[in-house]
Amino acid sequence: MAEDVLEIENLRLNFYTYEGVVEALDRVKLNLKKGETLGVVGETGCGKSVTGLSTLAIVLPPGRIEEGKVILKTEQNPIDLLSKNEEFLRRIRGRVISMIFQDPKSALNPVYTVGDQIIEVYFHHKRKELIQRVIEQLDASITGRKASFLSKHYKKIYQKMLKNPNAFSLRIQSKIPILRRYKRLLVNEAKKEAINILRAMKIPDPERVVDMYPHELSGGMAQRVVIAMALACSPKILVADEPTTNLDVTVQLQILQLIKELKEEFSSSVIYVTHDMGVIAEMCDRVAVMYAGNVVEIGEVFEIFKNPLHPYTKGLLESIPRLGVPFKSIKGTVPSLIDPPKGCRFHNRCDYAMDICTKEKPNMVEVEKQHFVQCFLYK
Amino acid sequence: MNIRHRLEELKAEMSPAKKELEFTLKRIRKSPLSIVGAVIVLFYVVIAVFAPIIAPPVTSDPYRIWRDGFSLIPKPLGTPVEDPIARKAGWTVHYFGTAEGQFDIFYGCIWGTITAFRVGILVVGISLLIGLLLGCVAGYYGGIVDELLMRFTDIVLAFPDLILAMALVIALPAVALIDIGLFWAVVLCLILPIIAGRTLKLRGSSNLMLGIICLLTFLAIDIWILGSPPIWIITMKLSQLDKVLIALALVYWPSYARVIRSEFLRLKQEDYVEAAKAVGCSDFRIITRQILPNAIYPIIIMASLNMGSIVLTAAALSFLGIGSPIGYADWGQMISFARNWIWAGFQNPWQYWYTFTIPGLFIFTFVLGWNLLGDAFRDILDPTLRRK
Amino acid sequence: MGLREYVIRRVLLVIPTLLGVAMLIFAVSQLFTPEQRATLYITNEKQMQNIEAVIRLYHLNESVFVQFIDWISQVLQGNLGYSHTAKSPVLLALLRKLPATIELVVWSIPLILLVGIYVGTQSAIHRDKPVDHASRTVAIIGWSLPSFWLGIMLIAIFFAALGWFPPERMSTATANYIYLSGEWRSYTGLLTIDGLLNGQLWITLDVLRHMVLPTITLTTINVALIIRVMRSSMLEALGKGYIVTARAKGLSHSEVINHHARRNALIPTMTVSGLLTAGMLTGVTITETVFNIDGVGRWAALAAGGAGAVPDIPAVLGFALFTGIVYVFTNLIVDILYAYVDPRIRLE
Repeated sequence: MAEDVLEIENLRLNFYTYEGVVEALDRVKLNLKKGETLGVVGETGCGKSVTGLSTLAIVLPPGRIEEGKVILKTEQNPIDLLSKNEEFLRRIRGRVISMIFQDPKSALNPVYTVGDQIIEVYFHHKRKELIQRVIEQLDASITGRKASFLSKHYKKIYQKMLKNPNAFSLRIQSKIPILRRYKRLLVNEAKKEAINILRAMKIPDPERVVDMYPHELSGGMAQRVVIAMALACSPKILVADEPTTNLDVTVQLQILQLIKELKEEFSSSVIYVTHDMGVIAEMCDRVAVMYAGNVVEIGEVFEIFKNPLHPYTKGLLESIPRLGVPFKSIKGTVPSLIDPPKGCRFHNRCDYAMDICTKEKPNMVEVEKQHFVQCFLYK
Repeated sequence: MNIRHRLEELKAEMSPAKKELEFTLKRIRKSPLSIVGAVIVLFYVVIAVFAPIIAPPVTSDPYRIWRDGFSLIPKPLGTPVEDPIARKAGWTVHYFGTAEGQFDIFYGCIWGTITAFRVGILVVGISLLIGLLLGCVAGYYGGIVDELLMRFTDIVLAFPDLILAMALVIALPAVALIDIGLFWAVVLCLILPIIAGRTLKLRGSSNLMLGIICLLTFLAIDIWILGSPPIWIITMKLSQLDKVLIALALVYWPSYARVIRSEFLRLKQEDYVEAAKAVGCSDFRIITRQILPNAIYPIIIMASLNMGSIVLTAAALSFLGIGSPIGYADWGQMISFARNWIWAGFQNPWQYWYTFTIPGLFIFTFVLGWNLLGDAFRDILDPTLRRK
Repeated sequence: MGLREYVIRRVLLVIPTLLGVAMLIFAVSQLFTPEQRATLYITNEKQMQNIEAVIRLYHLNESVFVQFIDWISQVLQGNLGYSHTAKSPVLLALLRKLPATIELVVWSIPLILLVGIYVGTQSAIHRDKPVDHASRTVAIIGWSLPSFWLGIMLIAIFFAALGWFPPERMSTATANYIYLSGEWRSYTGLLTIDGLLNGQLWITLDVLRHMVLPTITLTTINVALIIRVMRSSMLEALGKGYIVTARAKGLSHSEVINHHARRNALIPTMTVSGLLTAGMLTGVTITETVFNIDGVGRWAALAAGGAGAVPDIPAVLGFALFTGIVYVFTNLIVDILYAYVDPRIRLE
């Protein structure tokens, strides 16, 4: 059995808004195994997107993490990301864990080209390698016959960049218009990488696309660009936050297939956040069902579809429209999280609610092998 | 069983529109700057309304500052009043002193408040109306109408207020003029009920009642400010100040037009407009009842901010000598004839500070109040910045 | 679409706009009597005696179209009439007084932009914290001050009482050197630069000293505008999706703000700055009057009949034309810069 690469323990997160304190996440517990695709499914507002962001230790104001741990197990020793400082986290984000977003058009900055934004990732995480490569190229052209003054001059600059990146002379040079032409070499190297990754995304004519602006691309292409940015540094974990929700159905299929292939190619583990059970069935090995800030059930996809344990999961599966079957929905609405119901948060919509459900919160119990449920119906 | 619980329950039953209003009021209360702005504006409104009581007029034209003699040297604060007519009217002392020519500064500042309001309201009112009209049409119908109107707007925008005002002031002779009151009535009676109706969810007939109440209130104010009931078309002799007002109004309308037009362009795509069209609403109805109430918020912000800047521009014109005539109750005018008294030699240089500092303070605080209010409106009404 | 096509299209649009401006000014001039309008066509004092002849010559009693053609042809030849306040033809007076105004604007605008953009950004980043409230309060206070009042107060305090910074453009010593000594070469018309080019550093310093107060006046009043627009556009940019993307890529806080948010926030700021520059070039009337600087603004104020003088119609109309042209070209430059910075615009 594969070991975990990521574990979320007891994550509790609140949003402090004008209208009150929104208790968005309440003791969320998740684990991601190596090489698998974990689905996180739930309705709008259940906290799945926030959970996704939390794996990167990104908390958007006015939110605040009250307690819990996000344990990364890809390195030598397990690291609790929430306890690390910004400096450390920045080296993890984009390189070890990456994220792709729901609306590709708004996830990309409209004033920079697609290439610029991908290059940004390379500059941030793979700068040294790129500099090395430039130096090698310069060496090659020097020992060849084109030993121009410029090449030697540039080589000196790049060597300095390796040794002492924050040198004062470098900082000044990079601001002055003509002198900063040396940067071009680095940008070109990075651009080559960007073109490669775009090609891996099955984007046709990547040399042309790399110089285009986000608004010039279709939704599907833009989403591929976002995926390219995320996979640029071959991260071990990819978090996908409803990446196909805003796309046409046909494009959706393409993107899903792309993600599947890329997962194999880059050997990543994927957390796939969605509200669409069909996508879960298609893409995921295991699935976590979330409701009102709790993970209520987690287990293998096939198992959960065949034998849903939690009343909410049952309701979800039953409410998928089918021809010939009368439409069923779960009664009631999602409660406001500003003053959430005491005890189990689902109890006021649950057909099996018991007295204890209104008073205490159930713990996660393992009912079958690798099939966990958070409900008082099970012991 | 608690009163508190009952209140909570009642609150929960309130319609969403009322909840929005309460939310807005709560935010107003939370922002100290907006309260300061509102208080300042209220303060000036009170002064303007009670001006005849606070500073009783001495001559037959209350807008001419009365003079206590003809001496050129300004007298300091607290100088006793000598003119017997003034004393009969109730004056004992020059509270703020006198300016060159013995114009009472206190009187000038108090009645200057009315002038300031008059300038601000008239200019904002007229320019808003023109801008609204043109902006609605341009934004809603689009196409070539939009292009033409926008070109025209650009051209007019190419003129800084001061210059056009100057040109018009020289050029305009006494002109036949439709009573401005009519414009005001139209504005108030069309727009106010729409806004009120939307926020308070009034039914159609209540809207009509509100419109009639507005009209009556407006008539009352008109009689009080202009001194005569509004007649539809009168030939009015345009004083210097009026020419300036017209010029300013003609220069300020493009910004309103632009804002309304861009709002319309944006809102015209909304689903509820499509729905209204599908149901068969006339264009006029769609414009006034669907789009306009949503588009009005930036205009409110602009109008309150413009109140301040227009008064500043008018004061500047007066300062340059192109605004009100000398002796008229206008703050800018008072500063302009204080120019010679700013520095009175090395012995006692600040001797005549009151001649320019006090009117200047009035201008500053008036404008500040409107700016704070306008800024507060912007923070509160901008839907994107509303919820953190 | 591309930048080039957009620029060409935009430049071509200038011609009809200029024509529109000319028509508007012409329309305003029609409000005057023929005698007054005749002054637009004369170039020296003598002609003023023989107004009738001028009226007949330029068909001032005939149809509007004829007059318009006449007037436009005059304008294009450079004849804007004779200004009695400046005692010279309008065009000449304009060109002579322009450098003083430009110098004032050239020194004020960078200060306004630097302070405004920095404070606006900080205000947005630390929203609703004391820094934000403080900067907005100071900005609003500055914006609410009447410019003439501020100018007068500054003169009273810093010149009359303390003697540090004098009003006007230059001291008598400087004026003597420039106009009387015969050794002065005027390169740009901007005294601060010409001072250096002539090798007379003391002149540059003297003019700078004179410019401190008017610059402070202009900056205090106008910086609020930039702060406000920068703050709101920054707040809007910070709420967008690409900010989260940038953080998820591992960029640092300052990189995210400077590189991603600011570029987007500068776009509306640029438009406002452009309008501000145009506005200042044509609207420093009050400041020039208060500080007695012989620039275009002050001339316009005198021409409009300040202090009961006879209005100088050619001057006012000439100034209006100048204003229109400045705005049209400033808008052009702003639009082109806008298209350069925001690629989405080029599609329209």
